[in-house]
Amino acid sequence: MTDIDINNYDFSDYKDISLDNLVIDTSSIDEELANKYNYKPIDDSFDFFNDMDSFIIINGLPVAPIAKLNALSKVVNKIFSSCGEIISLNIPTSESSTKGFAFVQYKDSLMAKKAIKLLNGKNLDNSHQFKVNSLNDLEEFGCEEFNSTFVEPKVKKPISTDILDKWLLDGREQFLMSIDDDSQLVWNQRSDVPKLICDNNQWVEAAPPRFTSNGSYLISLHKDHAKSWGGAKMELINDFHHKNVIKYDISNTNKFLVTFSSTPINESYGMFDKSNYGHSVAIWDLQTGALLKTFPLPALSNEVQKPLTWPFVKWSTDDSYCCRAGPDAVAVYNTKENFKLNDLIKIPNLQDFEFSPKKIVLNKNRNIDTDLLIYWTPDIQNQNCKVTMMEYPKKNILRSVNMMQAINMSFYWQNNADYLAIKIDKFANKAKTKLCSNIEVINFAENNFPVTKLELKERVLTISWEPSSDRFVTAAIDENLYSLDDTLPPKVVQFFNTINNGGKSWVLAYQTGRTHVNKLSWSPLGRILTVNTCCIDKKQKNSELIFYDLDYPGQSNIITKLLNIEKAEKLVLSKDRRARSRAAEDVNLSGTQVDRKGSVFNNGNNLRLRELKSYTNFSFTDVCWDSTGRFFTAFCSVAKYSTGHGYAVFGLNGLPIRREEQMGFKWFAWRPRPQSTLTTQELKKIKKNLNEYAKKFKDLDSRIDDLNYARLQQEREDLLNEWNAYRNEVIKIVGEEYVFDMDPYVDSLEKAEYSGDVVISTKDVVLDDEDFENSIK
Amino acid sequence: MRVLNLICHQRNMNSVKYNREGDLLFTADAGGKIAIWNSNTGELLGSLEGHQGAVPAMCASDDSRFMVTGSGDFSLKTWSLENGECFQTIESGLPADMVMSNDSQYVAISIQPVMAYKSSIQIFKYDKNTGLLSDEPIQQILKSSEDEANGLMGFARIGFSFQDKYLFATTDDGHLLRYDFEAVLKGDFTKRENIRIHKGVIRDIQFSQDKTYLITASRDRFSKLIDVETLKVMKSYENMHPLNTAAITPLKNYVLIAGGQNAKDVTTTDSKHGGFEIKLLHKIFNQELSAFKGHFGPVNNIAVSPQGTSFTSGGEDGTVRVWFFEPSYFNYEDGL
Repeated sequence: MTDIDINNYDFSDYKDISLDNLVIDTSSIDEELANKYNYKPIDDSFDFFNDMDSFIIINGLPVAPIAKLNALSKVVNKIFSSCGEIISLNIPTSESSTKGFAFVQYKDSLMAKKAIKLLNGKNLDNSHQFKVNSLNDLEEFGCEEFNSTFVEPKVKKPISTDILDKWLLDGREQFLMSIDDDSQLVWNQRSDVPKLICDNNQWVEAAPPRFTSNGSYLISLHKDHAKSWGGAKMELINDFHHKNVIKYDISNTNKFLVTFSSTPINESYGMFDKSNYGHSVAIWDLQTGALLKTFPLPALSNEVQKPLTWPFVKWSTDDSYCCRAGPDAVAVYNTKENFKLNDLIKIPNLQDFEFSPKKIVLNKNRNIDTDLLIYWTPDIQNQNCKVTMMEYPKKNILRSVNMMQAINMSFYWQNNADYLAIKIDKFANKAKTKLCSNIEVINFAENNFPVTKLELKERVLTISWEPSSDRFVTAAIDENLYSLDDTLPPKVVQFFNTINNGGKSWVLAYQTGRTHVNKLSWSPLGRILTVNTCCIDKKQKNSELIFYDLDYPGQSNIITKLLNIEKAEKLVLSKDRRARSRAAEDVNLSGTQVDRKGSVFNNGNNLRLRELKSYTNFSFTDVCWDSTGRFFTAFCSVAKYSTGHGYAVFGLNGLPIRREEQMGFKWFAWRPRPQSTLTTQELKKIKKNLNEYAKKFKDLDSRIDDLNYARLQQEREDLLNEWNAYRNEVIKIVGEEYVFDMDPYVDSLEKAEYSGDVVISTKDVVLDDEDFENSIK
Repeated sequence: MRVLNLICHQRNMNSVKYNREGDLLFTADAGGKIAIWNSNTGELLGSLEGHQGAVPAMCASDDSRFMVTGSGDFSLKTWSLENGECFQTIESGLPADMVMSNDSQYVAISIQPVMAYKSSIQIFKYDKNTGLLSDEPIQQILKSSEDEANGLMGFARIGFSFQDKYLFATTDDGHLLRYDFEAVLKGDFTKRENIRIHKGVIRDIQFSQDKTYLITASRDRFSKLIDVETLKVMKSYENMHPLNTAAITPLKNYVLIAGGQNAKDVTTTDSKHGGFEIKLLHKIFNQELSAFKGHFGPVNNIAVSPQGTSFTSGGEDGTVRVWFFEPSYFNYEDGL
């Protein structure tokens, strides 16, 4: 805040200043204007005090002799009338000179605000700087009660990561599940009942809680708050008070939290004050809970611009910059310099923009890398639709690609930013009734960033890259396959693989038959893909879950080892019998093969694809992989579907591990693990001695199993004893001859035998023994 | 598992019962059709023709010579099972359930409050030699004025405990009433226990073979095992879906529970999500052992054969299935 304590203001420095030195053109100010300010009758109806907002006080003016008062007032008038019509201008004087400040009344308060915003801090000349304030501020801060000594704001000390990440010392995974209003953080114990760590009935209020990507914090959303939780018992760490908050986002390195409220801030509360009025987006320090920056919601520039999509604030790789879209521009802020506006990049008709998820290597030899800002502009005003890649912060345009007749465009980055797939939707026919998609893949891993163009006849809905690999899959609607029987358009899943054709290029390797897939999710380890058809209330009633292995039979590595664990805990989920026959139907590209074990797999274009498992017999609305890629969960939430609530955990190989049905089941989330800090050499050492480690954990597992088994046995024995005690009581009351499990008369009869011949008017349905075996755990 | 699919009924099933020996199976549907089957072979032995309305109540005599049925056509009928002839028809209210006392002296019928009839339990004298009911009920239990004041709902399912000591009745709002039967016969209805054990309507009560404990099935998704003497809830079994019926298996320490979503909701969901499986639970450990799939709609009734070797289920879809347990069922150890 500008210093406005006028009593102590030292004007002595300005005494020698001559206004003649100022280069200001005063010719345009005529006498008539000057006369106008001399007298203004005060209208009775004019509410003087309520309109104090239209007054400003200007400090920092030169102290000029009385003789030069006119010239000074002309200068001030000239400068300050640029912000609006001035009603009165008053420069107080002492006997011989002006006092170095002035009062200005504008016609309305908006003009005054504008003057404060534009002219505060502006230089009059080398030694004079305007300090412009509202007169209201004088009342607020200039009064005697106002304590002008600086009070250090209370900033919480960040909680040490030792406390936050202590859970990582355990080899097991944690997950969070919410049932009704109660949320529990538990240890994953494979097929056993998960072990409770802590529970809380506050985590689920406005939205499902979410872990930060390093797993340190849990962020929950409430009506007027976002809260962060952490530590051994997941205690409340920070409370981010933001009224009507409806969305939140976490920056790439988990340093910052962005909250968005449906109503702009219009009162001072929590950490917000007047300077935040009208703003809807707030950025917070996640560790200390301090408010760092607020933004208003940008106005849309024109009709061409797409509606803003969350997140509004996008972060560079290491969170050193954040940017937001404005009308025809991207505003970039430097997070290291207190969120100062770093750049305002003008981009006419900007549609969407993104930072690359990792830095792009520009020159491998010299180790030069940069953040990449990528954006697209539409087909408008004789300009082609264009995708532009810009180095940031250097702002060099690295490359721009013209696209013809694109309606919409989406970016899909591979997680290491080696490849970028751009999906371009366009009309497939002249009548503009059908859509199709092109995919352009930009290879950032090679020099000059070659582009592969794929023209498809299907409309691609989403693209999903295999983590740390060069393959991707798409879910697409083939509008030619659409029949009237379908309530939802049927989709196909397409697998794209690379071929080396004098440089890497992508080809369609395999395409499934019709499905209703609505989610594709890769194991974080890669190689394994689940194709999910989630239930949607009233739209999609049949769920389907298929596990694909894309490297069948695969090299001998950790994934293959995990796949070969055939220790399936027997569950009520039975295998889908159709799977095998359908796999055979599916294979509509050449290259179907059957190996010696009788497994059908596809070998088209070097992609050795195999369907591992498929399930259709339980409903689910959401799916998630745990961050180590060993467990996959499909769960059915009460918020999204009417029946079948609960969750099922599968192994990497698609075998069911645990299934729990629970009324009112709401949410499931694995707690992510942060990236390993081990060096490659340390990793190699661990891989080398893997058997030793495995033995240790196996021992631990079997000990736990033994313990659980013993506990279960004990529980059962107690229950049985309790029951027997009850029966003995009954015998005492009723008499021994009247207590039996089976009617003695019936027991004495000859046991009826099934003859099997005289079956009349019945249909004999014989189910497999295997089915019964399966159904009994 | 061997399953007999008995095809005869077109309407939803109302009642499924075995005779005392377990060789005969009686099934009745909402259309008034009553069929008699050989429970081991599934052979249709005959049917009892005469009722014009649903048959929610029926019981066979211990010697399997006679049968009493109550129907939605406001009549009770007694039948000879030897030739399938009806030899007595008594005008009555709409019955909800019917049960014969263990000594074959009395038949108790719960009457629903429909038309002019009040909710009541009527006790008829039964002649086990001729199979005839007394023309008029010898006792009629009505809700007391206190019950009316408390808003107690109508009587539903009824049953006799061991040695006909108690007469149990459920109400449509989850209450379990226990009358001292000796007092009831004397016209004294005040010796009564009343506990509310369920939040929803109790659709079924069935007794253990020795009638010392009973199992309830309620639409509140719970099934409870209750000691008849102390009225203590011994076990409580939770299901994912509302329950219609529950039974205790002789021979093994298991219970069967079944039900499913309301028929009117079924059209909005897939049959596989409606919870129409019959579940086999361990009676003591409260652990699900198996689920039998087959019915396409809610399961209305389950009856376990007195030998404990098979059970029969009747569904809302009009199908009757007889399920025979496999050797693995009998050999399955409790894990101790």
